[in-house]
Amino acid sequence: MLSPILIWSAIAGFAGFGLLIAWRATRENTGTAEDYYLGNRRFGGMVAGLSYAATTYSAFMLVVLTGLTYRGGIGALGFELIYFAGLGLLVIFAPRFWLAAKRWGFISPAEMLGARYGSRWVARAAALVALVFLMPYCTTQMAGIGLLLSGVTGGEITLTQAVATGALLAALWTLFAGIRSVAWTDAVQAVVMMGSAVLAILFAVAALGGWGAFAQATLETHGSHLSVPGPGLWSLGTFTALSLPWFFFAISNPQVSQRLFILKDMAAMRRMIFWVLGFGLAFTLIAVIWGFAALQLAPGLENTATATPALLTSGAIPAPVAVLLILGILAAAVSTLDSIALTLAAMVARDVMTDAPPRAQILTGRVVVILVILFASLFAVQKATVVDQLAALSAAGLMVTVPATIGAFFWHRATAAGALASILGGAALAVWMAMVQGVSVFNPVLALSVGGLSLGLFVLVSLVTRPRPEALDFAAELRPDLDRVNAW
Amino acid sequence: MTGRSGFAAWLGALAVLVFLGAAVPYGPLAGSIGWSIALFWGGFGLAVIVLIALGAAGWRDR
Repeated sequence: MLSPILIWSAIAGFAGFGLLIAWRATRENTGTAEDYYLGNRRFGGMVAGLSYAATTYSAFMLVVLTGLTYRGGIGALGFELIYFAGLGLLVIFAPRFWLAAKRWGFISPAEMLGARYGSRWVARAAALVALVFLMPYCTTQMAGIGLLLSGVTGGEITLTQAVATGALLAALWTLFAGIRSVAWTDAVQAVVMMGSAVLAILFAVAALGGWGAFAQATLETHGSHLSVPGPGLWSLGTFTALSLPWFFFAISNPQVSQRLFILKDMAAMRRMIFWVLGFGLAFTLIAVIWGFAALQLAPGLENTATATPALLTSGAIPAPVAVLLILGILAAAVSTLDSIALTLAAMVARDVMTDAPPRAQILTGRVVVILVILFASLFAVQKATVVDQLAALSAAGLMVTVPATIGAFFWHRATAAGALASILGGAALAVWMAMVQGVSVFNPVLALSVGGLSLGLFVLVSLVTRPRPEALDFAAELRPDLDRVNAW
Repeated sequence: MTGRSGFAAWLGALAVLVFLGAAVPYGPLAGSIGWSIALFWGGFGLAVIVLIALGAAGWRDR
């Protein structure tokens, strides 16, 4: 086990450094809602890319994905890489999101949808779906921190202490300067995540006798883990069930799609995407290799979610490196949590309090940030089953905004009624199937039904209703701008 | 529809790539014991990066 004093000292140093960055970020504030939520749209590619990477690659990677590798083998790599391929959607949608947001002054993705369809209710429906599915997802980030810190200290750091630490960091880094403090601390946290993970994996592989010996031992002792469906988890059905909603993550999850609004130009956008791609592929490989290393160094775990704590305390990883990786996972969780909190804050401030003055929108956002983090903390400690179910459902649940998002840019005939029916009908079906009927997120029927109903309702209801007069025509109005920046 | 050509080909390539990302491991490589699936998916990840780079290559600020 690792010493709690060592871990607390490292966290204190990390928190101090983060606070310094967040405080420095406040000096750039101008007091407008656009500045608080989007940093006046002046971010360069590197900070935006690292912030995007830290937001999208959460504690899920080195806790859940590692556990899925430990349990089911190489299928975890394929699943995560299908998500990775979904970043290709950025080639189509990133210029459109950016140009639309700049032209009409959108701050949240929900606000953009509302304006496109000429209906505040579309914006509110998109914001509601984000709240319902992303707040429980925040809870899992908190639970991940708790699992890790209590796991590596044998329970000496309690779940409550761990959750309180994550909550405090996320709240402070968000409240200081909104997106500016979130993005700057995200960028630093991305560096900590990658640096610590690379170091840890090198030590794990060295403990196994080097890459050749590690590969040979894996083949001899866990050969079935190198195959699909492997030891049982990764049937084609499960692979489809998990991969389908995650493929659309880049346009369905507002905490990452809102990052497309903060960029200063197209060059920054291209650089951002390359940073995310480089970080993403490397971090995905590390998480999966880490799972395979755990199979060798910490075999026989019943709860595969504890693979990372078990590997960290196996003796193969030197204590300073283990503590660094713990900081990396803490950083991954906090960076995801604060980004989601800020995006949800922007949605409530802009899409619910539509006509409030800028100061009220910032104040409202700060209150929402605190409420989201409190919610996540309380339910992480209480371990509420309903919250766990909603969190597992988040990717499939948020997929219901995909038809309305694609239609917003590519189908003139799409209507507000179609978008509303699609978002609310799909979300209702997702909740009913998962929580009433008990259909698992590992069952492809869930994702296919939710996606199918959402798409069907969008098309059918749009065909029998008319676009509102106040609706914007993105496809026609953005075309000259898209040609100007040479985007498809 | 656009000043820049090649969108349909690029989108088709993405669709084919994603399909192959599942079809090859669960088809010809299914059940194989060894590093072939891991290597395939490693190559798949690199192909994704190349394809996205090609898609974003023409962007400019004017």
